[in-house]
Amino acid sequence: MDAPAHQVALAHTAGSGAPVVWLHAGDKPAAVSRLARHFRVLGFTIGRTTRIQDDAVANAIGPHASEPVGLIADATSAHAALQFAAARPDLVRALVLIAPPAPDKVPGEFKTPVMALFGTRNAPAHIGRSMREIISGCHVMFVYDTDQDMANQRPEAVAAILREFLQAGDRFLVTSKSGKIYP
Amino acid sequence: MKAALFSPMRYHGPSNGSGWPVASTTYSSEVAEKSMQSSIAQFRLADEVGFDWVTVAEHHYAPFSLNPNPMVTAGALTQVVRRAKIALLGATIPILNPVRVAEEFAMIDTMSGGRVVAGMLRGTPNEYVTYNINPAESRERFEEALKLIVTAWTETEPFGWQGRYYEYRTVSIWPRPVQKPYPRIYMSGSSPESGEFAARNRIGLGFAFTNVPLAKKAAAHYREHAARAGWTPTGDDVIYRVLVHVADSDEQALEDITRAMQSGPRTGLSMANRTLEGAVADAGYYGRDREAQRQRLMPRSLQDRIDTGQIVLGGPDTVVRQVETIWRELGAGIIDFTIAHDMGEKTLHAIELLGTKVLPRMREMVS
Repeated sequence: MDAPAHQVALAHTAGSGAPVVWLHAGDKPAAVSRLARHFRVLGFTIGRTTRIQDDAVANAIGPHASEPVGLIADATSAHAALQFAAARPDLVRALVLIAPPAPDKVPGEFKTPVMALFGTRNAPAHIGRSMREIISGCHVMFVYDTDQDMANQRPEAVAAILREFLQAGDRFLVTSKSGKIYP
Repeated sequence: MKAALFSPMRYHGPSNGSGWPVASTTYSSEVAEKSMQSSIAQFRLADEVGFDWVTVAEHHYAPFSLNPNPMVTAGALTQVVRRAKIALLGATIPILNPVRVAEEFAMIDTMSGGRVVAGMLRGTPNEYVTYNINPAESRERFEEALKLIVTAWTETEPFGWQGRYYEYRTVSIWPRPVQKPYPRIYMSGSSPESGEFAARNRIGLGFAFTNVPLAKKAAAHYREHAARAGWTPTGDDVIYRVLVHVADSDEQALEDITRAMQSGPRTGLSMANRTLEGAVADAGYYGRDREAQRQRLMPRSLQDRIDTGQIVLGGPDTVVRQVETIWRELGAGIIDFTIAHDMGEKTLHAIELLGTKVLPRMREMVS
């Protein structure tokens, strides 16, 4: 579904559990169905624009935010998502940015756990430094053999890291996966 | 041209049969220590007589090489070899932890003052059994591991990695490589797929366990694909590893090597266990040029090996001519001389002859 320019529209919902809002351009990413096994995923499509208005996220999430959400934003919505998470940390549990442009200033202290995913095919040089200069606690994650379309190219890998981060926030650094091969 | 000296760090004592893996029932720690010290003495001498590089490599589970972790050897060499570069040709990265590899290379580069050469190999087929890694995944693991290692060397902020074969939540290595942006990388390039990957990624190519006709074909393939990728490899981009023994005369060299070969069986690692090698081949390890790749590992007669450039043997003049053929045929600017057999003083004398009589003429050859 295409939304008008500068608008964000609810396009799909799936799953149950803690709410996750996914802002994306184009069709529903392939990783959504995998993520929906663990969360209630609300997918919003973004109109034809390179960057949505800052208040568009608040307008979209507001009616659905009965509790803090996990927020996933692609390049077009990254700036607005960052502004929203900075302004309303009470409404955003964790923020994931997919292939975002290097951010400009973020207002105030950024308390929400944030992760930025970059594909190794086209990650900008020194992107980690660019991200952490603005958001010091940002987790930079490279998704191997992908570009900005990583959620379709490697949906299993993207859904797995999204799940871990949205469930555990900054504590995702400590794995809970068992290394035991046989009992 | 540049010259490197490679010692596999062979165990000098008796062992139980050939094959792979080899039981250690006759193993002697004293012999092992002496074997290691012997190789280190050879490297020290190579440094003194003007070799450009000294080379170590990873092999497991056999007396052919007491070097399962060449990083350890390279660390020791940083304190012994004062001038030459220390080349690891290489780490078998698909069977290792890539972040650990990145850390260890950075350590050695720091300890040596920026003299490490980073060989990243897929290794010989048997090595996939060593740590129980599926050889069918070797090439994919290699490519991902290499990308991860380079990222670990260049990314100065902590990062995570969501790969196909490797997964890390945060990586931030200390120390960092001295050489910027990172040490020169070489990979093995006998198969067409490897040559194409190296060309696309502007990586140097090394040939080992092969011969000049096969390597010539592979080098041409590499250059063709490099041209498509918009660059032209130089002599420094191609390494040819060749067995060597030099004596004062051709006759003496032949007598030395013949006697050494009679002293015990010398089985190449890769083909030492045919059942295992066949299973690895069936897994798709060799790629689309399977039969040619297997053929290059087959044992051959000494004369055949001389004729095809698997071994350079003779007095200094003869060896210079053989090296010139390698240069002319392959354009290999780096010759990785491998001690054919450890013969004590004769081997040390061979290294001296290479340094004093062969290397100066190799340099003239290209300049």
